[in-house]
Amino acid sequence: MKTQKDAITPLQFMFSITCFLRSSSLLSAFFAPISKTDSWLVVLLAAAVCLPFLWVFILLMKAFPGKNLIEINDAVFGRIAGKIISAIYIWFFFTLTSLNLRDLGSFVGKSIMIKTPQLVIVVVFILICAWAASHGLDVVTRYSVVFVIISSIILVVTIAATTDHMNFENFLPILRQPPKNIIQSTHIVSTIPLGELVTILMITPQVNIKPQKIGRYFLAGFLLGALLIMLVVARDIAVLGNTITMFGLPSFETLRMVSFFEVLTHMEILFAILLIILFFFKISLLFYVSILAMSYLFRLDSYKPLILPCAAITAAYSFIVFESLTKHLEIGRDTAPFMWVVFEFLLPLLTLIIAYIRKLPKKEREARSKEAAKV
Amino acid sequence: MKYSRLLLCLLIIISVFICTGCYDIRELEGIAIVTGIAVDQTKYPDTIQFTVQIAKAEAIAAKGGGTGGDSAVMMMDSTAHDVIDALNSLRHDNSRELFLHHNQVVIFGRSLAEVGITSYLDAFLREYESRLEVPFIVADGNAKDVLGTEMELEKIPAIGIRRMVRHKTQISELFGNNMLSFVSKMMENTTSPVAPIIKIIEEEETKRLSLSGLAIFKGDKMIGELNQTQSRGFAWLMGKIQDSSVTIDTKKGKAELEIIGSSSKIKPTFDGERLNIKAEIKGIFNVTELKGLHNIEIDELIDLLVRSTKQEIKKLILSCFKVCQNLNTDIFGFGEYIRKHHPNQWEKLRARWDNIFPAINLSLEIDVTIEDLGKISFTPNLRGEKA
Repeated sequence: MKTQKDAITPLQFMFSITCFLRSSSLLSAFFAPISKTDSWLVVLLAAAVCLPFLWVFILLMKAFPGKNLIEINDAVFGRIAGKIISAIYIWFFFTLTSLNLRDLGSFVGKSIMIKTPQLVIVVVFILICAWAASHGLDVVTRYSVVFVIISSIILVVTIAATTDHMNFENFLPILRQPPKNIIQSTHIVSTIPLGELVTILMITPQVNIKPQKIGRYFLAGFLLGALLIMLVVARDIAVLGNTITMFGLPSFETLRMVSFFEVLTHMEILFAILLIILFFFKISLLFYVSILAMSYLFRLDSYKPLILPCAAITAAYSFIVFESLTKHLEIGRDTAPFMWVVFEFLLPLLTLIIAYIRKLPKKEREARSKEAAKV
Repeated sequence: MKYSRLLLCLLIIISVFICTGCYDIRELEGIAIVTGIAVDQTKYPDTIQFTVQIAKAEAIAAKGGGTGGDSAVMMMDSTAHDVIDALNSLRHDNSRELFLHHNQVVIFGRSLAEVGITSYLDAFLREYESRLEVPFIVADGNAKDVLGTEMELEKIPAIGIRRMVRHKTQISELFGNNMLSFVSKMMENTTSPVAPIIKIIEEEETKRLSLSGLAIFKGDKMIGELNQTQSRGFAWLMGKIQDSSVTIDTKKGKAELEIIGSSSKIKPTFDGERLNIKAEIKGIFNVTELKGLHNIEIDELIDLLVRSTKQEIKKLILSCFKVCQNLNTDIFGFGEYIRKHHPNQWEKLRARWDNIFPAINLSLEIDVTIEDLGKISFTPNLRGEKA
């Protein structure tokens, strides 16, 4: 079973991670109401909390070079248990894809194209993402560099444009809230945008680099992404102050405040552009990962036959995944962080521990060297 | 083969322009651009009169700078229990669709502001089309009348009002506001938000609008106001005043000093039950006009100006501070300042803040710098009189 391995460069890999994280900065409403004006610190805290788990991911990448998550599951848990775990992972990937698709659909539907049925927006969007995914990983990740640059430029411009609305006293007092709020918020940030990087484990075998060196690119991409999220959140707090807790899309309201000498006003269109660009990237990557995982699970020769049916399923799933935007925010705050933690941190950790107990990577290496010796 | 690809690209590009969206198509002829919103209380309880001002694009284009003819705007109003209800009835009772994105100003009538505004603000925050950088103004009287007052120089009154507010904020950013900052102040526990008051001034035959002072809110109810002088005191205490002048009246003559810049620093000290606040205020001035004040050496003159300016500023600040202490409204955000900078002390004070604020002991330290005397240093007849 060999799906075509289109390789990507380490830089593409790095920027994909950054871009992946950056696209989640648009959803600061999950944690901003909880940690309020300390949210920017919470992002840093969450990044620090995630570092040990990233190390787990990196160890997995190094221990099983050339294997993606599904293959690792097979190798570590055996054929049957491995398949079950992989199936759960695939559900997780599809859920993530649908959640993001729904986010995009509701944003465009509520703010830009009010009368257009969300079905049209969602279907058109998933078709484009599916089209990108059908061309392989290289195409999906190729624009990550450009997207990161565009989004960073927009970030800098909007920071400059909102300076007269900024009030740095908004950050004060620092960390004077009940520790419970900070912990809960850190938990949300570490699971919802940051921990979702577990999906990257699906594409690591396709990165054109020695396994020993992949860690530093992974880490660099992660830190850059976390920094961008922090900047976005800090900007929103500086502009909105305590009102950041009210809004469903804080960044959108921040950009609405822009007025440059009454000439360049109302830059929320930049937010819309950014949101669509970044969600395009995130959804196509998630979609690619989902169908790739599926093709590995069923041992298909190629993931291509899965594209259209899965696109249809994802579009349909996105409508039933939650009832409303408010419900989504509630799930994002209360339920998802606890469910996701299983997929993002506990399962990889378990995988690593079992692999070490069974001394798996070693066996693999020996087996391969034996094979090589035979040849 | 080569050309077919090019053709395909061309087709795609052309189709972008031809196949525009069909659901959300909004042509200029099909929309009514709302430029201003006024909300008033009616004589029935829990009912509001909601007025929108709509710009007539055709009338503006046809007038083309000419005079007379039709008005460039029209007013529509409806009476309902809440904002969205009123908005919907306007929406459905109209040949065109209401377009709220370009709304310039939101005016609340005084009587409504005195009853409470939270329940009506909610809709403005929630509605996807409304923007939060729109100024929020209280009308002294009926908001609808204010919005309907025609201006000599502006075709669209709402835009004129917006410009008036912007002009005022050149003196001090505190004299204008927007929905966001207003709501943000409301969300702070102890701060009382302020909003500009707009008044109709009737002159013979004509009416004009004037922004006069600030409305003080406690919670969501307007409970008092600052007049022009007291508002200046407010701006001085916050160190946010510029581009205007201070008039000094001494025994020897009058002087007009232009404010170049100002700043203020607040230093709270805690003394058991009482709170002392020391405000260090700095002002930089230029002399723009002298009247009288002859026969004085230049050093003496400057000394006199500095002394009387300090007195004047002190008078302004205290007049404002007294009003606020009497109303028990912390418009300066002292409580918020202490929460942010002295969180430990704040824990002790927060529960008793309503008792503490009226008893705050404010001490002022005013520093006045006169930078420039203008193009001339002596009034021309000065030497003549001396001789």
